[in-house]
Amino acid sequence: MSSASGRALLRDVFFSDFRDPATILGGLVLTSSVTKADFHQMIGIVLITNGPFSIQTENGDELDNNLEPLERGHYLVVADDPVVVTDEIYLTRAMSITTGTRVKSFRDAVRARDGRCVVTKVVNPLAPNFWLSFEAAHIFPFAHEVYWNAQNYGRWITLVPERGGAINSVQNGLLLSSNLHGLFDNYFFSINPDVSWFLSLSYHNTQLTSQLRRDTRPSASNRIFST
Amino acid sequence: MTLDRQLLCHPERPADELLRWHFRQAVLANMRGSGEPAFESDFPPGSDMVGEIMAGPKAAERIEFELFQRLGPGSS
Repeated sequence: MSSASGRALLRDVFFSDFRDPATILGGLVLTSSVTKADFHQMIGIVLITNGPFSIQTENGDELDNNLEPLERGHYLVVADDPVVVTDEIYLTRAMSITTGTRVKSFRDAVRARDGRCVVTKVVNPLAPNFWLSFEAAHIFPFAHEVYWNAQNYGRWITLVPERGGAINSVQNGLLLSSNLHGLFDNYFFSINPDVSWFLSLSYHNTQLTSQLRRDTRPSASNRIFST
Repeated sequence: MTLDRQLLCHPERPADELLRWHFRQAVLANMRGSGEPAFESDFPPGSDMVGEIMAGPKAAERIEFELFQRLGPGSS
């Protein structure tokens, strides 16, 4: 099970319930763009607390909830009652190989809409004849369509394609450079539509991060979070 | 960093709810417990793809994922 703990092996941030500091509930690989506010938000996804929580640093101070960079360390989550790790479902996912007629129209629609990698902004100079090194990625994985149907996620789709079903709507796709597709499908980076800047967790890519930072505008648009 | 501005202004832009879903999955994959396995997907012709997958983490889930994405999950 060596790669099962692969992400954890690289961690340099850890967190526990302050009542039980010896039990590590999780952690992350710190990269330069993770802020203290990001950490608060992400702790709120992983842990369920009864009421509000605060985070204590190793030297006993309360961690601010601001845009300063997070530091390495072992953090303690403080709440009125013992914290609980969420049992929210995680769908096992590997990189998708998009083949088949149901996916072809999805791919064509994503290519037509984007024309370039939406993360790096690299334009495909060979469009529309060749799309080598560009790949249409599903945001929600096609392989988990049974779960998609059970949860009725199709309600989020307003543009249902003629072929392939709602899960193959252009609204479930992004055109990515090939080297980013596997990282996206394995959650080494993601996009948080509620915050406006780049966040990098376990994926150290200085060149990409700095390029993305140059594109940053403090508008309430989207942000990419790289894990 | 922002996502492509051209995309954000596009009438066919990705659904925010789906991006939020991906983001939550990413947080769980990376931060909860010991984290979820990441899967390599470079299987050149002649390599033992099934053997490598079966020897790796979460083999049953991985095989199911690979089958469904090739055969189509909605056929049942």
